[in-house]
Amino acid sequence: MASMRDSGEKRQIGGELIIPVMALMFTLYYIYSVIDSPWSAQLNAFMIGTVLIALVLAFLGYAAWEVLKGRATLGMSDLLAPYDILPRRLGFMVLTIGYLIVMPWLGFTLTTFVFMAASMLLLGGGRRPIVAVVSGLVMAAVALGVFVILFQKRFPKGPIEYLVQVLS
Amino acid sequence: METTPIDAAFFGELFLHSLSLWWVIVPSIFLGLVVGAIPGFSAANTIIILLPFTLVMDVEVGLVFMVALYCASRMGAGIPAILVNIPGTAGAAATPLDGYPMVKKGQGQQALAISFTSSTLGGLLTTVIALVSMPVLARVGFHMHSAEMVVVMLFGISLIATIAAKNTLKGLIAGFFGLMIGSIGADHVYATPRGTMGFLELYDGIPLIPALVGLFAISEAFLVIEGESILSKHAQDRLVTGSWQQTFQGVRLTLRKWWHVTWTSLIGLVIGVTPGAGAAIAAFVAYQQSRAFSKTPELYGTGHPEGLIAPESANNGVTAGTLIPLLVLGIPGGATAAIMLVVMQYQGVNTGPRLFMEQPELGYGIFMAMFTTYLLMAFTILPMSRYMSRVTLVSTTYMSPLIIGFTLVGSFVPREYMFDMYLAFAFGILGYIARKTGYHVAAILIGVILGPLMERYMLVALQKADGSFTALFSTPLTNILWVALAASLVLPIFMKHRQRRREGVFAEGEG
Repeated sequence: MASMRDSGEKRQIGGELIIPVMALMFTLYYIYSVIDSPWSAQLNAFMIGTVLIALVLAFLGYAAWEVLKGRATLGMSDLLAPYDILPRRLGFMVLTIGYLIVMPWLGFTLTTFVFMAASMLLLGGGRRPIVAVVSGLVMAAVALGVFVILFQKRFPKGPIEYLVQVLS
Repeated sequence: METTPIDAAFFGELFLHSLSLWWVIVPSIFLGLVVGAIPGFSAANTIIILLPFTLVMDVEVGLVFMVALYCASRMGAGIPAILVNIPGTAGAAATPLDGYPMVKKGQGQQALAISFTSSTLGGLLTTVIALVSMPVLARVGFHMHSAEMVVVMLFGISLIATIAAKNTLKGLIAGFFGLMIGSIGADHVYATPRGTMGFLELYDGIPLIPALVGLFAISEAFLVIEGESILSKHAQDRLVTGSWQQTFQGVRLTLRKWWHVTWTSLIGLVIGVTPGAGAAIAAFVAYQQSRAFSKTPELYGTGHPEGLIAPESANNGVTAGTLIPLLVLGIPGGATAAIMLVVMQYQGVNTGPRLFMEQPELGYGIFMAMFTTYLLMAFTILPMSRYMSRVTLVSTTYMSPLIIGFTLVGSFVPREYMFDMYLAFAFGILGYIARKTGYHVAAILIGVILGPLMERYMLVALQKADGSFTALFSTPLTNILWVALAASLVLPIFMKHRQRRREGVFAEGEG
């Protein structure tokens, strides 16, 4: 099993529990959502769901045993390490979710440009800002040209898209 | 009516004629490569967008354009799958399992050459087989009912167990979690919403592209920022100093594995013939079978060429297979085939047996165009492998935002829902957690792709037999498939055991 050991040689299994816990919670919700449904809707819930619950419980039991025996802790360093890039990684994730949230207001092209340039600046530690801005511009322009103008995909509209609409 | 003799001269003439259409085929190849490489932009999407042009073209030119685009998009989907772990379509989902580890070892050029060669050989071979055995193959598709398809799905799903072999409990949890996620959506009989969390966008089930790009690409973008490059220093040096030799090595290696290419592409052909089954199933089944019968199964997933040859040959084998039910029976086997049917009907061309009696040059000509496309692809695409592999030298500072931007856009394209972009991000976080904590994202994806198909076929089979599970053993073909499935699961264990015993005997002898 993928493991990370701390200085006391104990495995940190906190991170490994996230997927099983998510799987368990989702399965219970899924079973709840089909409890009053016809058998055809329940087929997967019971055929797959029961096996998944059994597997998760076995894993949780194993993890609890390891922790009780003092061979593992509930630490999460396998998920979070390396710590030196953690702020950048979290910042990148925040930028990504921000890109999606802001897009309906600022439009596809402008948000793509801002996201690209900001992410490149963040990941590059502020180095080579001109390259970041130019790369962002090129990517946004290509995306506008290919997806909005050529293939007419209905991305959220903003100032750039409205300008293109007026010009065309 | 005067009938055209179907002989060698006829096929020779057809080949020369399809070669004369190079001016349609070559641009279609490049367009197909691009649309195949963009997640969410399948050949079917592009053909729909360009449908007005195809309808005004001569029917033959229009069909050649569509066939060339379709074949090239299959190959194109493998390029980002190998280079940056982003499968362009679900059919290339098994490609990064060994393709991407090869890139990380600095063998990107060789990996692309293997992918291109096995795709080309697989495509050529299955096209020839399709040409000579169309009536028989069409009958295979006709006999593949829901019960048989349940067993075919199990072939693919058993890959979860193979992946789980490295860590049984975590592998199985990942696979079954994927199957559970794949069960989201309205049920197939009464349309009862299940596990949709109130989102109307999930009533049709989990859309594949957001799941695909999230689990593979977005999680990869969050992971690779740990280093300056996705390649190690050694791998970078190897790539920079690489010569054409790496391309030739890839070609030679694939040619030496001709038997492997043959049988995995045949898997693709047979699965392609079955209406509704697709390249993703073929690729997973071929990968699973390839690993199961390999002498070195432990190397799979570490950048093993055979693990790349199998899915690439199989998903290109599907292309010829998909056209068989369309042309011979008039039943489209997939989205692209359905659009071809629209064009043919618009142009007044009959599909089904009459096509081969009334217009054999068109019926057989479509397959010959496919053959010519694969032949031309070998000469146009293979030399590009050396330059394409240089993409991996781009710093992760620029690569990661490009991956995220590009794939989020790709996840929006098929349905044009903002929701799908959020979904891709959610799958990206799930994939990131899974990879960092030792769960295999491919196991989750197999569940998401094959789970709903399996459920649909299972429900149809059970309903036909009034809920009795005996339906799954009701025909000779089903039982043959069950035996084959059992053999594919048990034989590798037996072979491995025998090999260990032999090694033990040799070791004792030497001792």
